[in-house]
Amino acid sequence: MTTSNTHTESVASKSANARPGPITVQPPAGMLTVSSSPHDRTRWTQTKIMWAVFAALIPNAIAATFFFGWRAPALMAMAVLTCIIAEFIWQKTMKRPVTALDGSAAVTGILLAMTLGVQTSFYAIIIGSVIAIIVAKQFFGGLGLNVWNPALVGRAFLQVAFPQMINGGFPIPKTLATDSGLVSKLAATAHASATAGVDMVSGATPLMIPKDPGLLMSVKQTLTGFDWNLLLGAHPSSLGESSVPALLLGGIILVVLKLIDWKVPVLFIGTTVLIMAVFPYASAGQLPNAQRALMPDVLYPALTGGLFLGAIFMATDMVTSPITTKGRMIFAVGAGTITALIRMYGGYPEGVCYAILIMNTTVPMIDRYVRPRVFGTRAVARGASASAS
Amino acid sequence: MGLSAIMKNILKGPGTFQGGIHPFEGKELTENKASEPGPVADTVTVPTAQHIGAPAKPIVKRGDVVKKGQLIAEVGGFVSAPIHSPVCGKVKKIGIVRFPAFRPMPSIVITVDKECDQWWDGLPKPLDPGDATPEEIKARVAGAGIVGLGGATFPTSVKLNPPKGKSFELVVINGAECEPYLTSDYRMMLEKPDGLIGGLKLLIKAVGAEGGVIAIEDNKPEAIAKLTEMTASEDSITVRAMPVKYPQGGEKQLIYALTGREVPSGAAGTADTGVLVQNVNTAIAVFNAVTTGRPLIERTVTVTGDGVTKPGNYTVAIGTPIRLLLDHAGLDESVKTVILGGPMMGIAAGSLDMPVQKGTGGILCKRDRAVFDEQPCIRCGRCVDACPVGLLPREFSVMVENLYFDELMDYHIMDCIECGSCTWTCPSGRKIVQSIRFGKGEARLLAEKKKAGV
Repeated sequence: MTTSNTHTESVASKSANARPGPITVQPPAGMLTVSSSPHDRTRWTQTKIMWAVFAALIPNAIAATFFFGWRAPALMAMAVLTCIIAEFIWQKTMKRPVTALDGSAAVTGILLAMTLGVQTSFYAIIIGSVIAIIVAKQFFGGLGLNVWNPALVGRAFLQVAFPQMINGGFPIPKTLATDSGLVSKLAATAHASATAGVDMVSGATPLMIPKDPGLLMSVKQTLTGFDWNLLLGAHPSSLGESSVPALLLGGIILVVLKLIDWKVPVLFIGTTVLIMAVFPYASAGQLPNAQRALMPDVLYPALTGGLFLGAIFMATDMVTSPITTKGRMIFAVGAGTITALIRMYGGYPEGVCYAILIMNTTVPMIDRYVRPRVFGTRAVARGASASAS
Repeated sequence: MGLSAIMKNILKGPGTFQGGIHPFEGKELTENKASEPGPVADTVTVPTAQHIGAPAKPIVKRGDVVKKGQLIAEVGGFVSAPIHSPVCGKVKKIGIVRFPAFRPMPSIVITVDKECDQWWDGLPKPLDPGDATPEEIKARVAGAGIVGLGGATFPTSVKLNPPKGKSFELVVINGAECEPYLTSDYRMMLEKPDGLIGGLKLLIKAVGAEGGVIAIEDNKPEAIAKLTEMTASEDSITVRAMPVKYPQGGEKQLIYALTGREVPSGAAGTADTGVLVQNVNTAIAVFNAVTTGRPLIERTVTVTGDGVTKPGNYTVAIGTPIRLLLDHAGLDESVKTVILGGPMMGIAAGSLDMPVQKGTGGILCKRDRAVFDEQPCIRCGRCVDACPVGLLPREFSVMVENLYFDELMDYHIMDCIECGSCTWTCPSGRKIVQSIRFGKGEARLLAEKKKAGV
């Protein structure tokens, strides 16, 4: 049996034609591989991880379909396809290795769609997807090199480009029509919109309601007790923000598979809820402790406005979050704080999108200065036996 | 009678270490196969540098007839070990033997006289372990050519003599065997427990320690049970079961898990922590050296993997060509990688004519190989979570890729134990530890240049 060095892994990363291959291969006959150790590898490759994250979003996609109708999966599919095709075209044109099907573009697409309401037009989502992939990701060098979460950049762009479409109010889900009467309750506090569909009433998201002076007390009166429909997902919101149970299911799957660090969503959501519960805040013209009227329901800010979606799926995006545990915790607390501040004092009832984008900006700095303690760099604890005897 | 208070006070570590990974274990292939004698070679190639430190200097010449256990090469320096003939035979050649993808091996090649089985008459007399003094024990260890048989091959006698002012208060027998596939330590724990415990006691006496502990990963319940039973009446020797995690068998990780003490960054040995760690086979070899006077000339090798049809634990003479051993174990023609050691830190053999050495605990034969496709780093942080030393492996990988060596030392590259956990866990298939090996050389060069004021 002859031996050869030529089948050791060569400059695959530098080669323009390098393609990700299977984990194990059969080298040609008669050769012994003499690569440097280690000689084994985890089965969780980049591609597998990305598609697992995508799969964890399926429960949420199903919930969105249930609450918002068939337009929801159509929008999501449009976003996913556009992202993949945009990445493919870019990589082909720039003569870089094509990785469009590695799952990262698909995740960007579905997350982007989930931050938008079902009223979003298809051309808007196409534009958003192209911005997300081309500008936010490929301009920086592709996967692993972008600073900002591509889906959120796409959403932020659409916010500015099509403000009425994005912020103008979300339709109340159709399926509630026969339900507990939540529809009428919400409709009582809703703004009618001239552009709404015939059988949908355009209503403000629950988070928009408290900020509107006259509505504060009426919401409290109309929503007597905590309505479980709200928890399950039947409230006007963007596609991916409505169903907390579906999001939680996806989150738990990812934590069990060790694909995300559980501390990030827990700290993010916890910080936001804590700050908003503890610190009184005022909308224009309202008394500071009008907040108290709604605060028996501390879950209110937690369950609405995309906090769960952002905390579980966007703040845990590997590329744009810190590489150390300590760094990730700082990131989560920072994002939670900024979200709370935006909601309380900023002009915007959402906050999660911008909080994450702001924290993304700090990640290179966090990674530079937050480092784990190296083993062996603290004083050795010797002499224990002397103290024992 | 339970464990003494002193020992209990020493053994108050957290029980495990930070980081680590859980690779595929594969021990079921050989863990229940009792060790059996392997094939006897016609010619053995005995390298004179089977240890860290200066190669041993041959004291025989071509044509000399040698007996089993005869001293054929003496120590070559302070950090060194002697070499003994594993067989009866005639010295055929003394010189450098070369194999692909391996450093040149100065060796003594001996043709085996299969008729003869006589031990050398120059061996020291057997000693009663109860009577042996620490100096005698250390002298026997030095004379028998014992080196760290877990694979590091550090000369044991040097390890037993810590620097002035430092001493050992605990001796740890490393029964973790955290490398996947390898089971030779496990088999020895089951088959030679008296030698193991006896060796531990000799080591404790030799360094004047308070006591000893046998650390075993809990995927070896039989060994834990047996040794616990045998040490139940001891007040200064105990058995500790450790959770399975690679690299629990790393010396520094083991010391920390058992005692909570950290070997200082940059330290040459473990004397600062007062803990001495020795491999299972090393302890048994120490026992043999004292009680029989015989040197280290053979070892049990785990031959395993899907490339052999009869995986098992085979005891062969040092210097046996691995080809013979692998054929004996039913080597499959389609084998693609032959690894001396385990999959995490083993060295891929470039030729099947390479000899079994003192540090060869296992030979893993694989019919395929893992592909590291080296995608861009996605900053997932899994390498950081996996690193047992608390380093940032992705920084090394990316810096070396960009040939940027200036900050490698600041990031503590020299503290890397090259366990391979980072590389194993990287989803992008980056060759992190390989980059670190390259980076260490460059960083050292840079540091020397800086010191020289260049």
